[in-house]
Amino acid sequence: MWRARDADPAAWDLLLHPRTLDLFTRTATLAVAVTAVGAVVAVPLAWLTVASDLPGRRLWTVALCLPLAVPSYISGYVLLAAFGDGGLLDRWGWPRPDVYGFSGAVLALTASTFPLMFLSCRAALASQDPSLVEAARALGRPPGLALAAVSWPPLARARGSSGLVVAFYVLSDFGAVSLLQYDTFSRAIYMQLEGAFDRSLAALWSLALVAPALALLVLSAVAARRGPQARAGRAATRRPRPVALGPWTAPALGGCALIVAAAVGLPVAVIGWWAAQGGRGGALLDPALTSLTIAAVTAVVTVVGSLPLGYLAARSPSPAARLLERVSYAAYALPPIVVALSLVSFGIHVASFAYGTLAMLVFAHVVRFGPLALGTSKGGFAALSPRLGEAAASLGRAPLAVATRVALPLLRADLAAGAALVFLSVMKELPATLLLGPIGLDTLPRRIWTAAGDGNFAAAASPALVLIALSSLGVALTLRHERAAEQAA
Amino acid sequence: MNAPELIVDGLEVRLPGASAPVVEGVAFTLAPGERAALLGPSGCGKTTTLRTLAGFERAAGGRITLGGRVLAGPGIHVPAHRRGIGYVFQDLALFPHLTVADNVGFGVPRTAAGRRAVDELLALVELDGLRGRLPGQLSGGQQQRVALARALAPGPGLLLLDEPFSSLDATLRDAVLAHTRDVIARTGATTLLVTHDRGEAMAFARQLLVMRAGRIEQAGDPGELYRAPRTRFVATALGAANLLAGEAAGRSARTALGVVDLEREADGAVELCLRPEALALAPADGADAGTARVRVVTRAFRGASTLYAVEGDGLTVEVLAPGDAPWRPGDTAALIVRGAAAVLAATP
Amino acid sequence: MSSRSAAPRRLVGASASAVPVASFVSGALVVLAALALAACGQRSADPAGPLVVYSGRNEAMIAPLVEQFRAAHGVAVEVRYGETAQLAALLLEEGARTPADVFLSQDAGALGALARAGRLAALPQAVLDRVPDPRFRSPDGRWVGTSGRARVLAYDTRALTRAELPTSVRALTEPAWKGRVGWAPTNASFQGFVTAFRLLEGDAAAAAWLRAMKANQPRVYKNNLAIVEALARGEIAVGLVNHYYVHAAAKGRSEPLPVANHHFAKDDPGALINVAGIGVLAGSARPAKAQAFIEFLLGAEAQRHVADETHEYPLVPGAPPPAGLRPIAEVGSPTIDLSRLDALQDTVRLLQRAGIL
Repeated sequence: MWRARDADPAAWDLLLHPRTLDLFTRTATLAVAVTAVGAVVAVPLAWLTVASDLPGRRLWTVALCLPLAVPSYISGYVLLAAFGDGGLLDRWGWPRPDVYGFSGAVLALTASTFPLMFLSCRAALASQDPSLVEAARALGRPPGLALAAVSWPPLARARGSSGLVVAFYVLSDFGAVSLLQYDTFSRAIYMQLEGAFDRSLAALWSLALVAPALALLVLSAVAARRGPQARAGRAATRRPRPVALGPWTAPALGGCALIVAAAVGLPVAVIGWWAAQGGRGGALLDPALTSLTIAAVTAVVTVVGSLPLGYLAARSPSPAARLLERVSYAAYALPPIVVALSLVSFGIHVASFAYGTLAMLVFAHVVRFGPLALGTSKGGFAALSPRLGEAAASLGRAPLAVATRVALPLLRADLAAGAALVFLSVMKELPATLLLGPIGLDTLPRRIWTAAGDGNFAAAASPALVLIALSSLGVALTLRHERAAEQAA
Repeated sequence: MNAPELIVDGLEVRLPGASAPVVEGVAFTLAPGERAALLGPSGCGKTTTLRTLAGFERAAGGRITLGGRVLAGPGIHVPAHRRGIGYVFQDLALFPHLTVADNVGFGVPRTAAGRRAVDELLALVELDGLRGRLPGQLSGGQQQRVALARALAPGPGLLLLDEPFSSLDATLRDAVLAHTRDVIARTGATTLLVTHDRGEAMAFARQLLVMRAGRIEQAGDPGELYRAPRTRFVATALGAANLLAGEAAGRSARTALGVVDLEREADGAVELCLRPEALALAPADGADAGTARVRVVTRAFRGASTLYAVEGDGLTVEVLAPGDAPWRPGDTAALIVRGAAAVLAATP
Repeated sequence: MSSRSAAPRRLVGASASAVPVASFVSGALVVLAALALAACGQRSADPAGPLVVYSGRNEAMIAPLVEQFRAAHGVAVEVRYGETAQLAALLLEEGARTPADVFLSQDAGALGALARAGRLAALPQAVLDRVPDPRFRSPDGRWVGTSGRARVLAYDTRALTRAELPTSVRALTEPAWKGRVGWAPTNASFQGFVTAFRLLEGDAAAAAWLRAMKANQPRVYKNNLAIVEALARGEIAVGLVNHYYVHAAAKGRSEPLPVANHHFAKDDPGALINVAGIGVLAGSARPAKAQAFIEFLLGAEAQRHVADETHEYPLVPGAPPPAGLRPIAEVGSPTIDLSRLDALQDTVRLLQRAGIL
């Protein structure tokens, strides 16, 4: 951030240029649109996979997380290959949506971010006290409405934090918007950095990007004061009976299938098509193991690290704690390259002993993806009665035992969701891996990047398929913990 | 078990965001094995007092000593998990992911002795057959017993109960209360119950602490407090009370109801409290000339007793008469003062 | 709840249900520690240590060369691959503490930026003399070109014939090309070309051309390859790209690519040849190895490899041009000091003022 100080005075002129305002409006509009559309998609899916008797709920859950594992340039490529000028639909002479500009950017970004909201909403619904729903039904609401009335607060909380994450992802995204030719702030930052090697100006623009975002955060932190704190008690949690979909089963299945097909099926099909073109494979075991290890370690470290902050954010009455939590989201709003470079600066000057090691890379991932886990941790703590911790303490258990024996088991669904989000994000992460990782660190995204940069999409196919396969495996494993928690309760 | 003595002295508690202390100058002593209740309206600071004793809140001033060990005092704050104090929460706070046996065994070392303690307690609260259940599969009364057993399992010297019966329905409450009192009596722990229900408090406690606006207004044997409250607040907190002015001289006072006996000596203008059962109605025609004549306003038949509101000389009082008392609203009767009146402090 | 002081390391493990997690985490931590230790040993200012190369050029092309170099000279080499601009930013951020010895750059601009920041050491004259054309090396001897890339107008051969194509990039502002041109304003090669335009014709002329282009509604792409792909899809008729992308896009396709290169006339700014180059970081602890590596890259074998692999022009005399390409001498690149292409900042500003960036 302190880079901004060194910026050329002329840069300030540029900042006040009408174009800056225009960029800002465009960026904000995109962020709002993606968040809204994402919520419309994610909330019903979360409800279907948690509370209904939809056949194959587990499978759908994993499949619906997978868009997170699809590297954005693949989804962008797919969108263009399918709907772009000269794409499949064009060639077949079918009518096609205009994917360039705003609508395309909304489509592509929603496809790659709705799982963020999906997982958070799921966790919120899964950890909800079913007796609340029953209470609402007892008060005369029909099942669907009862659920809506009672689920709204936890869902709103989940949407609040994950919506923030999605909005910030949009702010930081470069790949999709540049492919689909929609100008945003982060594109401007990239241009400064990559076209002009001007870190000062890029830093200044980053500030310009983050400042309004932070203002929004402060406002939301103030507003959150009136939000519900903890629920009365979680003592009597039972699994609710799944809501029978009845005649709605088929449309629900169809909807899920449609979304999975669009967000996962298409990219996988394209990658499969590349693979069918044939290409030199190369042994993928080592990069696969490396990617897995880094993603798993980062996921665990991030989730564990998010606990104290999530706890503070949910429990502490002080606005300072809430502010701290919100500010930590800033790293997610910045273009990854800006975050990576600021960590380079930090690493080489402050933590030179760790510079260029895996530890440094994991740290960078934790900083960048922390908000993903923080949101779910905070939601979990908010829903956890403080009485349970006090009960454990009054039984002579030290805080550590309280955490392991009471908080962790009860937060498992929330923590699993956070871990899954971080895991998926790290699996496909590239810029920080290239700049901050140990020299020669071989990961799956790097293989894909190298092959695609060489124009060899066939060679990119096998690492991409392995990446998606391992990601699904990781999500499935993580969500097993959620299931275990459900069975226990 | 050798139960410890609890000494609370000058306790002051401030909660974040509140300018005035929630609890101020609270002092009381519970003898070893004492069974006490802290009674007061909601918001009076009784639960905060209990939470501070348990170590969930920090004392801003004063001292808490348990069995000679200072738990809180200037520069001292023993964390909750090192206090050895049992706590039963209002919402019970059972661990939803643990079975009944695991809940009860949570604070007990996983040794043969610990398992034995769990078994004994489960037997004591009659939950032996449900040890493998999860809390969500239990009834309210069963959950309450699990919470009690869990708090008692580590063998705490002091047991704190925060309105543990409030979620139970009235018919169940008496039985559970009696059972709880019985179980606690067997363990011998010093016990403090917080409640806003005077019936619960008086039925449970051997020592009663009446709390008002962060202070203890009066403490003592429940019967004594009922008979001789020192303030109007305590008088009404413990039961129906007829408050009337009088002119005292020694052990008697002149009032609108005639001359009444006093619980203690007083002189000059005083405020007196007469319980409804200290008054009686008699046929108007057979009464002495000095007896007050009253008109019956309302009548509430309660089976064993009948509660009357009667009016005389511009004063309305409540009278508890036998169930078969014959008077109807509009009747005239003589009012007889049978018991002594408590003399209240002059202040509010 | 008082779990805030929980020590992260011991968070998992106490509860029986968390045991699989615990074993997984501890296993992962052990692997991580081992990898970290392995990585630790390699960072040093030891002259005997391996040569550290930051490469903005693709691994597929560089890795075989590095392997050949290692085999021939017995020198261990470690390469950090990345995007050229990001690596340049990394090197600037790392400053004097960088572990890198050599920077292999996709373009002269990044090398110029590093030289200007004092991050590149002077190269020996013998190395510089391998590339005799002064246009393709730094005038103050801080970097040397390793291969050349010509700016061309790629076109859709189904839509246009060579005769219909303009001789100057200036002609693309004509109404005939409205909405039919693809460009990549964020691309470093494109910005290098605009910089050359500015230096050759002046800022005012460059700005006027950019505004006229913008008014002609060109389609914006992420990079050169995306433009060529768009040409192949028929999305646009012509695109401003580097010459080898047509070759790159054709690679691995079953049917022939309907896209071809067109060179603008001699000395047209649109006919610029930029270079990929290499420099040695100031303060490198292994200058001899670095020099050997550069000499290797400028050797006949490596030059031929680059030409075969990437279709870029070799810059060392005697090395033949890639198959099917005009000799580099026949491409009329304007005479310009490529070092001055590091003045990208003004170009970016110009592009921003024109509302293109």
